[in-house]
Amino acid sequence: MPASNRVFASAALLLSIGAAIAAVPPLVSDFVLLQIVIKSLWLGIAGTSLAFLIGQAGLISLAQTAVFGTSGYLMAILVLDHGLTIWVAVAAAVAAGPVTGFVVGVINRRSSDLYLMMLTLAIGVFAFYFAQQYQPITRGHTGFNGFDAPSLFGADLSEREPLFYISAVAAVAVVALFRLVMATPAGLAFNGLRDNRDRLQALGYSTAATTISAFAVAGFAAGIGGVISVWYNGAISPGSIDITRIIELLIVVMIGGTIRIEGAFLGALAVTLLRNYANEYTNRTETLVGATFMVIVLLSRHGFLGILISARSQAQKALRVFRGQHLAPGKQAAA
Amino acid sequence: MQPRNSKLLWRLLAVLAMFSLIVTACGDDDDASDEPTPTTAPETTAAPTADPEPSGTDTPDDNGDSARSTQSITIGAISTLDGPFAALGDFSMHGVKLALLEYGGQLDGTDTRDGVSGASVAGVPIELVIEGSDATPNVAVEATRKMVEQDNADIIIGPLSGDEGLALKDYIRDIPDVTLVNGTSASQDLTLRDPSPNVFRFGGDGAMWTFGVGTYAYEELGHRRIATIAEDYSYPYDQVGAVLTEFCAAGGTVTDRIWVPLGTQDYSSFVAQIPDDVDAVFFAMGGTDAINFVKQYDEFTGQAIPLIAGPTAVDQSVLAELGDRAEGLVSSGPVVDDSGLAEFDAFASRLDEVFPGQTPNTFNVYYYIATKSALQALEETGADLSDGSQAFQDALAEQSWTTPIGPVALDDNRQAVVDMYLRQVVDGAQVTIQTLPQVNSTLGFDRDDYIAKGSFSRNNPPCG
Repeated sequence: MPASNRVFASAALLLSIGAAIAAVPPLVSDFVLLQIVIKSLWLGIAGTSLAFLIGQAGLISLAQTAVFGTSGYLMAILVLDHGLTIWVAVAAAVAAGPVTGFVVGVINRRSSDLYLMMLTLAIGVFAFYFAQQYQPITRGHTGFNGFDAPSLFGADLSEREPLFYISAVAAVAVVALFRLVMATPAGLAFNGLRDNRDRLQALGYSTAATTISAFAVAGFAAGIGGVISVWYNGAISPGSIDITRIIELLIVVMIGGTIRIEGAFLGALAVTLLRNYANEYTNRTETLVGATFMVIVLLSRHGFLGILISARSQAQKALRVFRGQHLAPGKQAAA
Repeated sequence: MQPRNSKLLWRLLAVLAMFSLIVTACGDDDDASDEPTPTTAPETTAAPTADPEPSGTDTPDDNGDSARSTQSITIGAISTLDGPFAALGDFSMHGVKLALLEYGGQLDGTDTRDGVSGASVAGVPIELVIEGSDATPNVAVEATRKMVEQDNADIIIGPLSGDEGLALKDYIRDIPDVTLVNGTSASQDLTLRDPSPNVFRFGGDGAMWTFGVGTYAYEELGHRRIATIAEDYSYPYDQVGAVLTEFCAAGGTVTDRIWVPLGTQDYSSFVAQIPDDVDAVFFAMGGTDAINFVKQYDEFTGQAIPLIAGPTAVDQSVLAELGDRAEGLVSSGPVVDDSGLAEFDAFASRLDEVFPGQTPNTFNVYYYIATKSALQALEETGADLSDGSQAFQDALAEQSWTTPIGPVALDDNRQAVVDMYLRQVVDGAQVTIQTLPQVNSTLGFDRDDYIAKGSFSRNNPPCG
């Protein structure tokens, strides 16, 4: 009975997610679909990798754009320079995500907190300079232009609706994967890394191995984000992974909130909206983005998500008071 | 529950928050610090704007329903309003606005992003929308897409930097009824290879801007061996490529080609690589890179080996900051201060009148020429874009007029053939050594041959 209940519940959840996805394209203009929705989706997918690292494993990584860029560049190089079939290149690029994450993890296996941030920042900046300078492979500052997104089941992914659907499916898949991982003992070990490294070690876990696996898992999402971003832009250049983008990804995640990885999508949406529309009201868009970031970080530890969750719990509390259930049942019994 | 660790984490985040705010604020500081002179202008220019404003708010409503309506035409201007070139972005918008003021427009305000309202051509109102990029191609494409799709821009003026131009060419190629009139993007291949029919450039590219220097260095200055030092991307490749093409054809040799990363602060290790036995060093850099390099080169060597400059390195937009160190530097470039052209003097005085303290430089002049060319072509076609901009684009391709920097006409790739100037810095101004009339995009070489040699790169052209 409970098992069939669960199947029913997940089927209902999947259906409603599917309905929600299908409802988006007719509701928004072509422009919004591409430049707001799809952009938020791939930025959010890349963001979930960081949200997972920060929220679940307590690892503030500034190297996620390096992972993101490695996958994006790899796909562009394989197709445009080596003439590989697009889907082979896509598979290689997606696989490169966890591999790059693994490498970043190995480098950072013993570091935490400030040192982790410094080391990962170095990796992120290294990736940028590598792309900028190592011309034989990366084509230098110009990067790769004119990348055509592939076709899937006859749908051209350089068209907006198909690209939206594939991005949405990828987003759902990435979130599902993270949830799956979090539900395993490994997920608990990641939390242990965040909460108390010493105790984790005392329990017999290797903090190094746990750190490496966390980076590898996160790398998967960053890689997928990188692949979709190249489909979206039709191009990749060092400007896609420069220091501005490193900070932007962090802003996305902090604005969204890290208690749930889904917060990254909220953050991505907020940042994308600000970047596209704020300049109609102010000449200081960048300052506004920075100020929004500060206000949200100062007001709510958990970003927009935290505000939503605390609003919900406030509402529930108010509802309970309204229903007169504020008297604890124990007290009633004692009386 | 997790007391010490998480507290530390949040402190780190607070520090990062501060850092990001400082970083983002810096980009804006650039805008602000360049603005102080114009802020004295509002009294004179802001007053008349009260009237045109209602009409300005009317037209977007009309626009909302039908793209490319004939009731108004929207010009979208894009430049680098954030990031490393923010100051140059301000200059470019001055040029755009000056052209619109000639067609009855009024400034909406003194800020860079404030538009111009009330302009009209052939009785059709002209709207101006302004978007900024941070000099990265992706951001430039997003900003342009927003102007085209949300604001229904019919004509795009810009962008500023080379690789942005290449990205926009790819984007705009798929929208044939929208026209791109380049600002200052100087990438050769915007027009030279694989051109797009709706992309126009009324100025030179990086190679054209450097035309004449190689020959002059060999013939007049008597140099036989030179070294080059330049930023490591496409635009400096074009400059170094043009110099070496001429210099090596004349019989000279290049000993070293040193490439520095964009945004380098410390040039000591690069200056050390310059051999002692060369006759001159050609350097091609832009903005702060040029300022840092010249300063350090001067301090390290006292300019023991003479410098020859690339066009942007000694552009009027940075000359004041270079100060005495720039005195005597020889370069080629699109703008000189003593051309004596009536058009140039008129432009300079109008610029100073509307934006007090501003003087002509490549950015305000080029954006002005681009905007004015578009407006003239609109006027000739009755500002009617209803045929998918076909008549307008034909008229634009035929534009031939005397700009503030000399006569301009377009070739079959819609690339300008223009005058360049061999020039020298004297008392902080660019003084003409020689006018190089009607330079074309193949620098006077055989077209097929020139194109077949391939894009300039780190080691193309080959030479000694």
